[in-house]
Amino acid sequence: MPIVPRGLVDQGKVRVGVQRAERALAPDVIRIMYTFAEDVQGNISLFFRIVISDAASTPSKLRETTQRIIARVLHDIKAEELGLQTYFNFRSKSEQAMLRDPVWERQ
Amino acid sequence: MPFPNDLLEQARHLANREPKRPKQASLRRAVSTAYYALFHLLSMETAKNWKRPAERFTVARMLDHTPMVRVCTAKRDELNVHFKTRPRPGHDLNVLKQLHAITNTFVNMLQHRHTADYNGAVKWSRTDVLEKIESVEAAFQSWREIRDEHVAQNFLVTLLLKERKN
Repeated sequence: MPIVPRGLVDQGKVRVGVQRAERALAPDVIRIMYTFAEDVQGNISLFFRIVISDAASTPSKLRETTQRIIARVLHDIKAEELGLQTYFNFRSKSEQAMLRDPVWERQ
Repeated sequence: MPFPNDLLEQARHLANREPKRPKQASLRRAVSTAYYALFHLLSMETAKNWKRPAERFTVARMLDHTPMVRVCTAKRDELNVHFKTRPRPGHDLNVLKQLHAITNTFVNMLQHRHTADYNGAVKWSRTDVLEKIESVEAAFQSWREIRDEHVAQNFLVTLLLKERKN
């Protein structure tokens, strides 16, 4: 995880908010990972990687599911107070099983 | 808007090109194409305000990614502040919410396009790419609903603004 200047972001609050959202969004959400990094505009941003269940990622449900997840995460981390840009990426449980991408697994 | 719509259709085609194991190349191009669909939608809508049709493609070329994302970020943040004042529900608020969705989608998609085009270390999944395409489709729909509104047309003009150095 890149170093974020101390005092710029309360990382503890982010962690607690993400954990709360993850619990609330189960079983549709399997896990929520995140990283602080600079975005294309050069601003420190929060990049979320969210593994969702196969059932929640079916094409007919995808938009509704992801919108609901984004809204809940932004609410629980108090995104407006943080003043950070946020970006979200999603993948299903079976896609992650196939890709075996370590950055999408809990270390 | 045949060209932006065609790009969006092409993004979906690329995302579904390999039914079982999507190639990273297809997924990355799909994300990039979805971004360009939105970029060209806004560019061409801006250029349509130019009186002489023959020069509209030249006008569209005046739009540039970096100034556009700055304008979209500023507009989205300005709208966030406005929404906190609890404005009265109704048509005007609905228009602003649609504009917020468009600007937010542009900001997000520029970042995702940048990742897709330049960061080979990131692996994409079809679920993720379809989610990005659907967000652009929703932005297209929002634009169709508000394109004739004053705030929407005013927003288009601001896309041409460049940051002054002095």
